[in-house]
Amino acid sequence: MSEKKSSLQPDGSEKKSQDNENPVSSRRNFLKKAAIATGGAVATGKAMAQKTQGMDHSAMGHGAMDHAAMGHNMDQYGSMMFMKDHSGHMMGGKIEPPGSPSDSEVDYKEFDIDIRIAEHEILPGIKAHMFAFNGQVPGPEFHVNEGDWIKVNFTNNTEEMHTIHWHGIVLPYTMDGVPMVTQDPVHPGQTFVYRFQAKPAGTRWYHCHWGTPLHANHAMHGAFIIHKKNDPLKKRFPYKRDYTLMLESWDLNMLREEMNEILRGMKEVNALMAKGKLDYMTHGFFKNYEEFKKAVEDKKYIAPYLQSRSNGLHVSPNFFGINGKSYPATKRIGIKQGEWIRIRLINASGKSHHMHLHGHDFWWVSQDGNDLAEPRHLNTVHVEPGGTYDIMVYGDNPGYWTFHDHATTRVTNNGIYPGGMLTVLEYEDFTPTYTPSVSVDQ
Amino acid sequence: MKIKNLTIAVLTAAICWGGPAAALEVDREVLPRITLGGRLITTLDSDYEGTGAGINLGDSTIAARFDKRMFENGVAGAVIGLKEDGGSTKFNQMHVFYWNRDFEVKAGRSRLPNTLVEFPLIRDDDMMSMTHVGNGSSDDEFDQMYGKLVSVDWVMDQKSQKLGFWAGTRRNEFVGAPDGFDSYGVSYRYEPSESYMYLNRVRHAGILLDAQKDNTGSFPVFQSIIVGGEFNLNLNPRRNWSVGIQSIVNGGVSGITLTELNNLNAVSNRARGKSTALVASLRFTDRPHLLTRMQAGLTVGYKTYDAGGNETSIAPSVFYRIGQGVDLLAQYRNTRYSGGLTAIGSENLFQVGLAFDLDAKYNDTIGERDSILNLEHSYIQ
Repeated sequence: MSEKKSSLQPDGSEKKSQDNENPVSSRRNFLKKAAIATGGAVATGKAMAQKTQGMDHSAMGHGAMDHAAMGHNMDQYGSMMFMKDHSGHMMGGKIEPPGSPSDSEVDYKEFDIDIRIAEHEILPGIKAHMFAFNGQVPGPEFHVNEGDWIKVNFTNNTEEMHTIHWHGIVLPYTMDGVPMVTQDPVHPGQTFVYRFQAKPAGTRWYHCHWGTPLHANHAMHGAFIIHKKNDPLKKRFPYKRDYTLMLESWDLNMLREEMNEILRGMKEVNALMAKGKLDYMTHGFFKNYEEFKKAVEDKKYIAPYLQSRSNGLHVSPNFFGINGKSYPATKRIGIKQGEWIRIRLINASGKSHHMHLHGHDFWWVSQDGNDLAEPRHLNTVHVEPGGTYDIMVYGDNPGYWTFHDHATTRVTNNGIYPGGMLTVLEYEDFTPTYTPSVSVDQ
Repeated sequence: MKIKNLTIAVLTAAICWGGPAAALEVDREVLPRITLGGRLITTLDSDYEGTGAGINLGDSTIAARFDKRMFENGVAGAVIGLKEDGGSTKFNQMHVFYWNRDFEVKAGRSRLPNTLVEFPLIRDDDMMSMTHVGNGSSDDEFDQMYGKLVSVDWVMDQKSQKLGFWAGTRRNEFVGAPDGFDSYGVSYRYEPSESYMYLNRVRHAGILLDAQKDNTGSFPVFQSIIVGGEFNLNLNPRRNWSVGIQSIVNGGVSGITLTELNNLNAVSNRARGKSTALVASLRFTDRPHLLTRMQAGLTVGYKTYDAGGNETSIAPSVFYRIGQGVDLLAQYRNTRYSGGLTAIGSENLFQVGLAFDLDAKYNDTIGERDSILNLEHSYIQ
């Protein structure tokens, strides 16, 4: 269940905390701007021209679009990477891409979010450094109304490059956050301003789209909930409380080694960039597929995926979790007798999970943020990588009920059962005859 | 039949168990991290050990490190390594170690802390008389580099500084030479992680004090001071220039004569003789796309003995990387002796060859002290 300490609700009121722990101050800071509708322009940092020099888009061949043939005016678009003096300009500054209305045209709900390296505790004794939005795992949870205009100032406070992809949100392509497809990656010290309208309604999410097996799957992800006015689901399933469960997996060894290798390489890249000496191919970028292909065939570029340079990426998660924690550190889901609750499952792990609830059947009502034509009655829902699945649970069987991935190797901590992707549905208004305790070695 | 079965069972049990009698049980589910490292280098030498052209496998090594996280904190393990030495194979590494955030402890056979700088030479021992404090109790080349020791390094700050102490035993091959601990040392080293190799002006630097008992027993100890480091001339990880410099001032044993420096025990006597050595190098590293492809180096050395005699070396070398850890290499070394000092080894040596460097980790659940996550984000608690 997510830590909705003070998140903004559809009616503009603050949502009360659903757990008993101290509020996360960074989340408060992050969210407090949500209530402020800003119309003023944001000062721009270094000059960040969007024009491209020297790109021959008409030569784009295999695997790439011929923009010139399609009548696109490419002078208005393209990557700064290929500008002659790009590397001296890529450090710091603010990027405000075209594609959305200006601040004076619409009222934006403005958010600040950054990325930094944080030490995150998964469960007692297990900590790991991660790239984390606002230093927390998962990242802050957005709650906005359908149709709201959203402005997110994303600042990169690491030495690595990042973006934010708004998963499932229909927005201008310049705001979609895919590096070298819709934007340059956000360089160290840069702020990238995403502006878009929150639509369509439903359970959406966001994640970094740079190096996703490490970045997105290991920590750089968060929920983006777009609330619908007059939600028909609320009429059929009159819930008042909803919970967001981000499903996660971590290969802590791969995470550590990859982060070290990335940071080592990026120190060198950043050093060259600061001197204005970074050649774009050294950065691993090419103007188009033909240039890349020729560089490989002419042996001028030894691609990192070649067998002479890589043995492949071996990801073997040893910890699994929900909202940044592994059982028994996961937070419990509260319910009362006669109450409907909504549980939003978001799979950020890159693995398939089969979430099974004991003692109840639930209604699966929504997939990828969109309501199903006809809800299905289940007790196990298969949550695919990248997907969001919403379920409604009715409180009609008081007790403590396990809710877990039924791929049972994922309910372990470093191979020891029980643990991992497991939490408990806990009735708050009954007198237990058996009170749960904690066991971590069965 | 029963006896045969019983014999098989006993043998099988013995093979499967294989542990020392005094060892406690080991949980086999907690596998150690295993690191295999080593280098196989083969060169065609214009003059191999004074016998004319030949094939030189010298300096080839292979080692395995096994280590685990401890219950409370820190990491402990063991290293075992083999080294080719003049046609035979010797254990050059056989030690146990422990480290945590603040200390590194090592005990057993290992490389002696008797040099500071790795110069751009194709083998560690290419200018050993100038680059290492020698062993005054052995003429064996192997014994100039390896010995038994106990060392403790205090990690003064996580990023770079270490203060080290060690005591050990250099192998001696002389009758009457002292037994037990015969060598001691203290050091201060500024050692940033290799992750910053091209980014800091100072790659590394330090000062070592080495003291060893003399093999005759008539002179208590003689001492050497080693000062040196390697410095980047530019901070360019794409095309990098650096210089290395190291000096060894050896207080030596009183009364060593030029005759002794040239006799059958010349190697050990030159380690005992008062001397001053200075070695410097210029290194260029070419790294297109930040992938190291070529290194060219020029190393020059000069050593003078109080008893008379000097030696001067110059060694240009080139490495061309044809695959990860696989280098074509070539080196010419010219050494001149003057002032009555006779030659040890070839005076003119041209070498061309191939080196395969191995560095593979399995079951890495630990990470390294000098990783960026530790240095900058305190990974090790």
